[in-house]
Amino acid sequence: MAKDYFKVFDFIFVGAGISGPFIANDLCKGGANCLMLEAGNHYTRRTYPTNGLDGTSQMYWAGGLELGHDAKIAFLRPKVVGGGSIMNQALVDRFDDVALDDWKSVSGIKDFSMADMATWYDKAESEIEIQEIPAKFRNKNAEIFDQGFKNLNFDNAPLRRAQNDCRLEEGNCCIECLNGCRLGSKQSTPETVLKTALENGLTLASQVEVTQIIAKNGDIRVIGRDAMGGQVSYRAHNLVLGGGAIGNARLLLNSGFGKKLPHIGQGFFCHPQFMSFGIYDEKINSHLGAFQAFKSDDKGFRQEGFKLENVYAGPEGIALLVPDFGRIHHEYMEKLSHFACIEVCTRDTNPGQIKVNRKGKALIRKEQNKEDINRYEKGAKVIDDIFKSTGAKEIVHGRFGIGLHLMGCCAIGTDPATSVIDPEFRLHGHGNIFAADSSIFPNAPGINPSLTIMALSKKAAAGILRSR
Amino acid sequence: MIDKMMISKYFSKSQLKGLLKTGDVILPGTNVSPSFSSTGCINHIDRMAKYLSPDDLNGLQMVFFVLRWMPKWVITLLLKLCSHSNSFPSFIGAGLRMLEIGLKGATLSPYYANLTASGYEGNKVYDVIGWHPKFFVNEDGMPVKQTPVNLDSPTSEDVEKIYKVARESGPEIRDWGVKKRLQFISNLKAVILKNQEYILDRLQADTKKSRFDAITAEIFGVLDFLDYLEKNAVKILSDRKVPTPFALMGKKSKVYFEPLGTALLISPWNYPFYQAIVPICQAFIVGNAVVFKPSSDTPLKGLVEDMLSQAGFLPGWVQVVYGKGGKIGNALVDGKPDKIFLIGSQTVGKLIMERAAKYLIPVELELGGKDPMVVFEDVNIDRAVAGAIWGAFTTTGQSCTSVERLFVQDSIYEQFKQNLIKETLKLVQATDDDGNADIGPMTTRGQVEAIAAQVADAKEKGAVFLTGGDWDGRSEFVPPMIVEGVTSEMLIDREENFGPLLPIYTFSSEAEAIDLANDPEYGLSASVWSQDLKRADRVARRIYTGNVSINNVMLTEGNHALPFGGVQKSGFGRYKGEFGFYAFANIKAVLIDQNSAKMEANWFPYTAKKYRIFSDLTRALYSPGRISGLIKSAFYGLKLETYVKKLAKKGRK
Ligand SMILES: Cc1cc2nc3c(=O)[nH]c(=O)nc-3n(C[C@H](O)[C@H](O)[C@H](O)COP(=O)(O)OP(=O)(O)OC[C@H]3O[C@@H](n4cnc5c(N)ncnc54)[C@H](O)[C@@H]3O)c2cc1C
Repeated sequence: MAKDYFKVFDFIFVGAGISGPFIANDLCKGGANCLMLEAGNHYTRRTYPTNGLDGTSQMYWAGGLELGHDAKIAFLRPKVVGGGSIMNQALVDRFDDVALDDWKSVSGIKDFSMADMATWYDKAESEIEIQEIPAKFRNKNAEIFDQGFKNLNFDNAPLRRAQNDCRLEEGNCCIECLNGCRLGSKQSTPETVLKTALENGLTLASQVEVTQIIAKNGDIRVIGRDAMGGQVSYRAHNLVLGGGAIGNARLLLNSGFGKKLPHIGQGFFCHPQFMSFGIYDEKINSHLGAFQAFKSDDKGFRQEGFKLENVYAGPEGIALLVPDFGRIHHEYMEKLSHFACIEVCTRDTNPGQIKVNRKGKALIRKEQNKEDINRYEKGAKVIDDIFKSTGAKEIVHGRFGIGLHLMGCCAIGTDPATSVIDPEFRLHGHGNIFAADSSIFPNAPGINPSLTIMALSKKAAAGILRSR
Repeated sequence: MIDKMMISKYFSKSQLKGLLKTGDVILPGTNVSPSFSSTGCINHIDRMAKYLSPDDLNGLQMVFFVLRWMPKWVITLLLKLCSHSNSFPSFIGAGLRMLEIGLKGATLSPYYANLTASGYEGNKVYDVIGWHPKFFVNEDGMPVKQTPVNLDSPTSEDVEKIYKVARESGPEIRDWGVKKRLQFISNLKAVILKNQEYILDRLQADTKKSRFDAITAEIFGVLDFLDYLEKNAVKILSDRKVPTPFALMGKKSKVYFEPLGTALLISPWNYPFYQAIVPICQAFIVGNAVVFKPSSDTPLKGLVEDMLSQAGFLPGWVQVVYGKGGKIGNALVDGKPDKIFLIGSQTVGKLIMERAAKYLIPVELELGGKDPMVVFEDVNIDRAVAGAIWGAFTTTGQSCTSVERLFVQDSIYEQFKQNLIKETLKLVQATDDDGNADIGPMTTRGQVEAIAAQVADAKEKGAVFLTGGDWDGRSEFVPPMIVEGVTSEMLIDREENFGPLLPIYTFSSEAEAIDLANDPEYGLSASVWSQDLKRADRVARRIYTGNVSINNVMLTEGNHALPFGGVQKSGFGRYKGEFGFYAFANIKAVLIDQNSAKMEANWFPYTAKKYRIFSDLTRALYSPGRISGLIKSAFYGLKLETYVKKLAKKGRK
């Protein structure tokens, strides 16, 4: 990359997650000269780690779980070329009125409506393939989910996944997709928009962590650290922030933008998720076949602020969630093949906050208030009922919550006092710094975020191209 | 079982013990589940530790260090408290939750990733928990299957792969650093000690040498060398500061000892274990990856790899390649190692060096010798005789430093000779299993034939065989032969014999002894025997050779702090001792200056004025007269600096 030192790019991208590659793809097609910097490693289908230990260590910040100040929720923050699209569950949902109306009123931006967003959702969906898991490939865990909903008269719906061919008919068990999909079926950005962006001239540097942004006289300089720990720096006319909620907030705060934009780091949300396990007499083998197929689709749940998902995890993950240690722990794990699993995902209302310490490390403060706990408890109660109605002998609640949908900290909005990004996706007061990733969410939508990140990124890219 | 040989880049031995103990409290095992420690999954802890944030890693290191000294019930109590973290005030509760996730993460992750130590035979965790997701991938999704590299008579393609593996291993070996690499050496020492009898069996099977020869030279020798590494490697390989002269004031000068990369080591058949482990470890401790080729006559197949692997070496660090030198030698050189180290014959030495010259690969050669033993009249005859017999016949004369020419001062010659014959006839020759034989038969058929040729030549030209004259020229049990009346026409006088052949000669004066001992071709080692140590030292200095023992024989090799190597056609370079490390090191000079605005006096622009001050300074610095010189140097130095500053600001004019 040394040769790029003297080059002035049109755009530098921080982070090769979901948003960055979606924007870069359109800008590169438009002829812009782009450089993308990603802190994580660049894996391919042939090199993804194949066990949970390596997967978690190598593809997340801090080698796996990050904890907030109260250590009640463990955060998983992707650090890999492709970001969350590599290891997420690839569930893609459009937002509903509830989420968008809420955004409209918090941000003051009228465009947050079903009608306006539909165009962008269409465009986003045209970049990836989306499938439902066919009924014949649902596993036993999915059947329990479905049966429970029927027993209790709740509505559910099949999951929409960003995938093109999991070849389930060949007997594949897709649980390993949580460490990256070796089949290339999962529509991660390296399999889709990042690939075309690279074909259209994008320069990608992995294992470069951006540590500072200097914006002066309409010019951008970014300073970073490469794999060896050495300093690198690059120049560009524009900057696109795609480091995710914590990544963007940390970088902006470390670069001194917090002085003029006090809202940076405020309004952190994460849809706290809690797994519950029902233990049955018969074998469930939740890890076999397609490991997820259903989600809740119930108006009541939406009003109560939670949703349920039919999911599963690797044994390392589940082992951390079952109670106690020693013999009792072993007794649970020895029955693992009898576990069914449902997760409650809450739409959190209590905003958290990201700060940085003297060393520039991100500190997470995120508490659940009464309302959030209430939402969780209502959801967990429904799960208990589902398990009971389907014959579970014992029910186990995961020992702690997990934060996977890391959102906010650079909220979009009209008012620089209460937001960070303006309605044109620019950093307030900086015409050449853009963001359209998970960090701009003004609050928690209660719906899987990735498709909306893609849609907003498409919209931002169109805006940038128009103004060029 | 847990591999006791576990070494971690990130945790000390005692931290690992703390982790192991905690692991066994969290995962004690049941009748079906294995315990944490029994799986040996701890061996994989670095796969996780490598990616932890520095803060998290420090935390874990501290916790495990403390838990190491706690009884198990304390750890149990601590974990119980963690289980009830929610009943504590938030501040304490948060601490307990962090601790719980830290401890459980570090133990559950390697355990439930189904990882075990090599050779683990108990229940696999995946079987116990019924975790068997199938995943079928066709060509386009399939990770490329690695076809195993063929290390036995490899083709040039295989050799390419072998070097690829070595080059990929290089950075990892280097990353461990000397101290941690030394832990592998300590492990190896323990493994060899534990497997001593087995190694001796294997050695005798391949070399036929007597068990006593095998244990002293190959087991004791190896252990002693490893011990030497343990005590000295860190000191010798540490960065060194060297003085920085006055003219470079304000800067620092250092020497770093870094690996060269990949070393190709080729060893002969006479000491197959010693000549494997010693060069391998010498190259490894400096941080090199190794490709090792043993002799095809005594390959000890699988033994070295086995010992190394038990000691925790990864397969790529040291690859043992088998085959005939004539077939694979060229390919091994063509693989372009960064250094070639050969112990062997002149013929092979020449071939390798010639081939290496093509790529300018540095070589180091330890070749044969025709080593003299010089005995003056004032010696204790019994001791000198015993020394001569051992020096000439140990390992049936198949050592490169065997005594091959014995010079005895004429005044004691007859008595010495009679004793020599008497004692030699007492030697017991057999491949024994209890240590009761002195020498074995010859190791290789080729060597038997070479000796037969020399014997026939000597007999034809009139040499007298004082012992062993009745050997049939075919049996591999070549008896010790003491030969008198040897002349310079005979092969036995000039060529290395590498067998139990000992020509004896007389001399009358010190000058003559020196003259005779100095071989026109060879120069590996020599011994000088005399009561008069001053005389012995005089002679030792005048013999052109690499190693000299005084009043002993072949003993420089007995001290691993001494270098080893020859002159003339006996080879060049030194291995073992402090100098042995340098054979495999990139000795890097580093000069450190500060980043500042300061300009150097010797940089551009050059001006006439600067020239004048500089030449004044040179004179002041290096003319005799210390005090005034110093004052003057300081004066001109200052003047030069001020002028250079001015130049930097204002330019030439
Ligand atoms: C296990 C898991 C399951 C999930 N399941 C779903 C799901 O089913 N459906 C769904 O919609 N969402 C899901 N999510 C969430 C979703 O993946 C994320 O919301 C989404 O990836 C966010 O996209 P992004 O582009 O904002 O950031 P990310 O995808 O997080 O990418 C940000 C990238 O920027 C890099 N970066 C950050 N800071 C720097 C820096 N300073 N220098 C260089 N690089 C930097 C990071 O390393 C990272 O690779 C899941 C997440 C996880 C972890």
